[in-house]
Amino acid sequence: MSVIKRFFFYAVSLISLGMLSGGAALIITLLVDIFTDRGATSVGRGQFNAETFSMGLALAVIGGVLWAFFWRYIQKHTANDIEEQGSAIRAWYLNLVLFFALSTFISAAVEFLAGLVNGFNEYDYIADWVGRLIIAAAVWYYHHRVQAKEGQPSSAAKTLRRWYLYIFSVWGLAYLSIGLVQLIYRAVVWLPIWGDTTRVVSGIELGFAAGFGITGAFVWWLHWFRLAKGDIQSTLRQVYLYLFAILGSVIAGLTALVTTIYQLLRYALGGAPGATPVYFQFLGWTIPLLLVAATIWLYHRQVARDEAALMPSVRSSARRVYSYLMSLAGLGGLVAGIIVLIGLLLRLLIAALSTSAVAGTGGGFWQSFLSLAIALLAVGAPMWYYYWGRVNKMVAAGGIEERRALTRRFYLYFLLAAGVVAAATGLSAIIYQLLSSILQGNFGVTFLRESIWGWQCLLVALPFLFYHWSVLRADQKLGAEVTVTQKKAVTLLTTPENTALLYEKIEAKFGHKPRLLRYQPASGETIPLLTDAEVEKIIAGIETAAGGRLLLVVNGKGWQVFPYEER
Amino acid sequence: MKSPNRWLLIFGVVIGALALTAVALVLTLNQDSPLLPVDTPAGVVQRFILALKENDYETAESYLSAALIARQGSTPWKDYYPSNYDPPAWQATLGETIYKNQTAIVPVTLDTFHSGSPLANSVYSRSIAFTLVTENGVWKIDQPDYFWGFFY
Repeated sequence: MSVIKRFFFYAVSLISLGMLSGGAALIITLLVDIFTDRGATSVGRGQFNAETFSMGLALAVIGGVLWAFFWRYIQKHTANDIEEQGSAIRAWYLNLVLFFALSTFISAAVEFLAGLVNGFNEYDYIADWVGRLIIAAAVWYYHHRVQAKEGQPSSAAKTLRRWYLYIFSVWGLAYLSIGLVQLIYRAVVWLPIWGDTTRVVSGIELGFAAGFGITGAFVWWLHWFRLAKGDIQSTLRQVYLYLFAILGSVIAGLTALVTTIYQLLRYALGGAPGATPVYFQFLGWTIPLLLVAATIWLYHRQVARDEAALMPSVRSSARRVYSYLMSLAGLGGLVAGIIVLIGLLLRLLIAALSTSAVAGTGGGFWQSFLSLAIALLAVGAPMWYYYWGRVNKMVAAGGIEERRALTRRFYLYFLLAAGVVAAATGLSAIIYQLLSSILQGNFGVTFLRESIWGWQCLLVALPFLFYHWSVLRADQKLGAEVTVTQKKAVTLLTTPENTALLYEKIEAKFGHKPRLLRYQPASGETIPLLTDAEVEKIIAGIETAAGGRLLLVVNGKGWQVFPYEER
Repeated sequence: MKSPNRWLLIFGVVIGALALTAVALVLTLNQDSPLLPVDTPAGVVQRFILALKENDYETAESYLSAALIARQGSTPWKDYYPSNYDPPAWQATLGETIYKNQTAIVPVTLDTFHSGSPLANSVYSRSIAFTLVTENGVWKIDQPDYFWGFFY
């Protein structure tokens, strides 16, 4: 099939499948509504039913006929044709259908479960939920079976499948976490320990918490434990593990910890005068969130470690990414703490300089400021100090190769960019307020008061900018950014054990990741593990070999380097 | 000591010193001004705000003009402050009073603290102009009409 023809067939199939699904869902909705006699469609019932039925039938019949024709044609031309099965357009079609079907299923399932826990009141549109649930599940299951039967015969199909899998792994995990924390919070608030003012917990709040939890657990289990099982070579899996699961849970846990310390400090410093037991209800969500975040963090960190152990070539980079991410999270808390602290000190200075009367303060204005600053500093500073210290140890042990690591370069340049933007924003705000106050003739405390935010940005950005710039300069002086002039593309043909010994050294030395081929030993051939001295000799051999493309073979007869060209 | 580590130590010492200064200042200083004379517009506005803070709506209403009460009814805004309502921390600062004909305008800057956005600006500032008129020689608040959400 030509690309245009393929696009046409899949586009029409997608649209007609949408019509068929929408129409079928309308008919099921109507049938459930009539069968359960819940009265949700009782307004103008006869006319409503007739119109719904007509619309549903029209969509289902026209969409169904079109879809059956186009889909049958596609399936007929795809059967036993690996190229067709692996086409990017087919992969897009299948994954889009799976995405929309499962998204619809999730939203309907959450609403249905919320209604179920709440006891289905008269305003709940159960029929609509049931209709969407049945159709979304059927569409998802059919296309899932089609995809499972074919597998992913092309890299485009593999990549799109991974996007689908990890999007729903994140989605499911997020819903599960939200549901669990909400459920525990509602239960804690419901306890008769909060004095006279007991907050009423509604069935619908509890229902949505249960809906999020159950749906999230199912979606996460299905995608993470079943469908993405063993997919350890995937880059998107690393994004899921490190960026969403590990960094996400750390940020959620830190938020809960900072909130707990902040609220307790605020109370201890007298910032919550007249606080009743209800004040402490925040513990009902911060403690569960801490526990849930810690569980997610521990589990995914272990998974990341286990998977890195199976791939020696990425073991050190996994450890590096983890350390820099943790360092970044700690730095975020520390910077936020200093921003609040400087804001507090500037406001205290303005209060001392100002002749305006303070009519009053309430809710512990100064104590709240101070408590938040201390809470953020108490959490962010030790975390940054620990993980940044770990990074520095890695650099001390790894030398120039560690300083050259992409993660480190990205981390330092990201902080440099953030620092420059924050400093420039702060300086702009200060100059704007300065000019404005001079032109309006009210320079003085008013200028200082109006430019507090600018000062906060500038005063926090400058030292961190300077520090990270000096780290970057030190790296540059040691040659971390010296371009590797002798770039060689190396293809490596050997055993996995020898690949592990050579992979990183070749990449660091010649600026390219080697292409890997697995050597199949002849019967009775044994391939010894390379010694450090042999590895050094091989690196030197590649360096001196002529040509930019080299095939390195390490087998039972020793090692050889062959120059080659692509045909 | 290597250069970046030396800077790290200096940062740590400076941040520690700033934090200790902040703790000392917050714990020792009383930021609220003493009560201003009740026969001044600023004194009336200050007492009105303090009455709201204490949920003393009867006293708060006593600082309002008859015209304002007639316009809005009898303190309907008090319903917006339930007993267990925990407003954000706030500070109200009075500006210079401006006298104009038989009225006085007291500008009030209301800063409310929000802990949820530490990487952004934690303080939300609003300017509210209180207009006062004299009734039987006593300053009364005539504007603004509505006070619900005052401490948000």
